[in-house]
Amino acid sequence: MTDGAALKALLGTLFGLPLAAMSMGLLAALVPVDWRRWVVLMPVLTVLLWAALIVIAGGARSVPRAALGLGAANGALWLLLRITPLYGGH
Amino acid sequence: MRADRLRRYIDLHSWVGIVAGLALFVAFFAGAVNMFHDRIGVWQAADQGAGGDLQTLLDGFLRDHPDAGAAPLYLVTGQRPSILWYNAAAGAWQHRYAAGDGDGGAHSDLADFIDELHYQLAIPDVGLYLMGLVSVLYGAALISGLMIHWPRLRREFFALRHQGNTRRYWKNLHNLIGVISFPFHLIFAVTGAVLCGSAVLSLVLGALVFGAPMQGAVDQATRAWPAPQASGQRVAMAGIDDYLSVARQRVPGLEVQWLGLQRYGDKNAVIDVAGVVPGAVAHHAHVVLRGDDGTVLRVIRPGHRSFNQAVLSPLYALHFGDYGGAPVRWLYFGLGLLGALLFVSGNLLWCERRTDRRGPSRSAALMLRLTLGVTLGVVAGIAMAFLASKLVLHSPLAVAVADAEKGAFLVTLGLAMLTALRLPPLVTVGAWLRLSALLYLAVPLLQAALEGWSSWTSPAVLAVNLEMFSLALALALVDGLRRRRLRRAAPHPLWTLPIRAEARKPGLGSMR
Repeated sequence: MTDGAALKALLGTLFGLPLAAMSMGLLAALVPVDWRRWVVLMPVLTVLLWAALIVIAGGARSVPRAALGLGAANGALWLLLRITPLYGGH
Repeated sequence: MRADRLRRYIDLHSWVGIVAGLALFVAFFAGAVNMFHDRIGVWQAADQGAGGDLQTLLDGFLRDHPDAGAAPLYLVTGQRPSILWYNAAAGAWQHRYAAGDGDGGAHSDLADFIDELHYQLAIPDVGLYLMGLVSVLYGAALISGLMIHWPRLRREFFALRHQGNTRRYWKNLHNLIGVISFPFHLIFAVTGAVLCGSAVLSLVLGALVFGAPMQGAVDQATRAWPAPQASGQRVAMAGIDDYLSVARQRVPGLEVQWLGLQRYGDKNAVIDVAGVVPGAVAHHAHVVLRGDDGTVLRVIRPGHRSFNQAVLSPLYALHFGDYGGAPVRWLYFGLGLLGALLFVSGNLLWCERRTDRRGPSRSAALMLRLTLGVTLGVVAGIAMAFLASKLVLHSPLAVAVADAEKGAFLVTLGLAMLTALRLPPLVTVGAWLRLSALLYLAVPLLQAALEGWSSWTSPAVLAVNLEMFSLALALALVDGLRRRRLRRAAPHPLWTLPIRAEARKPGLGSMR
């Protein structure tokens, strides 16, 4: 049994959801279509990405690496979203 | 793939699988039974008559509940028409049937109970969200499972035989079912997660990204028509037949499934005639009409709808398997049972990995008994719910039939858990598999004995009884495979040895 498999899965589950959701925001910034026109597709993509992020977190070599990676990715996306003019109530 | 990375993915796959496995078993087994939900709705009340006029039903209901039109009402068509309404006093949605005796009286909840077991483990309020999370973990298990097998898929596919090394019995079975049915399982994982978790997902997307407009955008994208405001002006409504006639003219081939009535009786009343157009996976259609004169407000149908609606329709259709008639229904039924077997085999594999020649670890012993108790309890419990439904409905206690169905299920589950904890695992599994097969065999025979063989001329009743026979056969097959496995080789130490001496703690002497 590799070290911290359960904890990595838990981290991926907890921090994968906000990361997946914010990725939708970034995708909406890139796609030249009003996000409202494909809003039903967003939960589908969010779920797929969330599941994939749990797997990626589980593949990390250690729990600290998984935590660091998820934390950094969440922080980076949060900052990126704040500098785009298209979200947060628009 | 490097060995250490492969090991990490295997461990992740095991962990998410063991956390979600039992819940997924319940969802898949109940889901398989639930493929005949509408037919079970007819079967459960076969003796109480079917058919009935929707207009008469609606008029009678509104006479008894004059203010009910202020809240949404749903007229459900089909072999047993009903009106679905929210009873604020009871705090629950209720049915009144066209062929029935009003709001009171004896009404089975069997079909709805099986449905609740499927999508929320019959746990009110939080069960739905729990299953959404379970579905995401299930997705992670599928992706990791694919990554584990992908490098060897082509080479090993034809080697994934059920026969072979009997010590790898469960691993072979698990891999075989998982690989063959992967596309369907991915569909179930994604659609299940979205259907169960849509509220939470919208909340998170709104909170982190799109803000307050998110909820409005979701409502607009998913509703056929916005909820109308009451004008306060009472006007006469056009008839149900008028609504149906207009809808069928606008959408040829429409098979109406329900009518949603909003502000019925008010000048701003809106009627949503909803149904399906056979011949497509994304087959849902809506014709939205004014309540007073039947003027068409909006038509949503295959080939004529927004991108959002075009995504929404297959989400439901692919999950519920209602797009291809009986063949697809039976295919989903089979896939559901195979899926249930996938999760059982996964749990058993997890337990076997924690067992050596000296015996199982404490966690393996406990998980084995928990797995047997829950899975066999649910299987037998659902059969007992069907039996209780008929026995009680035809007894002086008929008014308590809904409680009896749930009670029979829970008592059976409890008994299964108890025997799993107290008896040797091999005894538990043999006894309960055979008992369950007999229970499912008894269901259609009891129904015929109480309601007559002539009731089998109803296609719905016949379909449910065939489903019960199929379940009996499936369980007999599984028991046959179990007995053959025991004949070919000695049972795995997990099943026969007590907990390893160094892992034993006081008070666990019964776990042999």
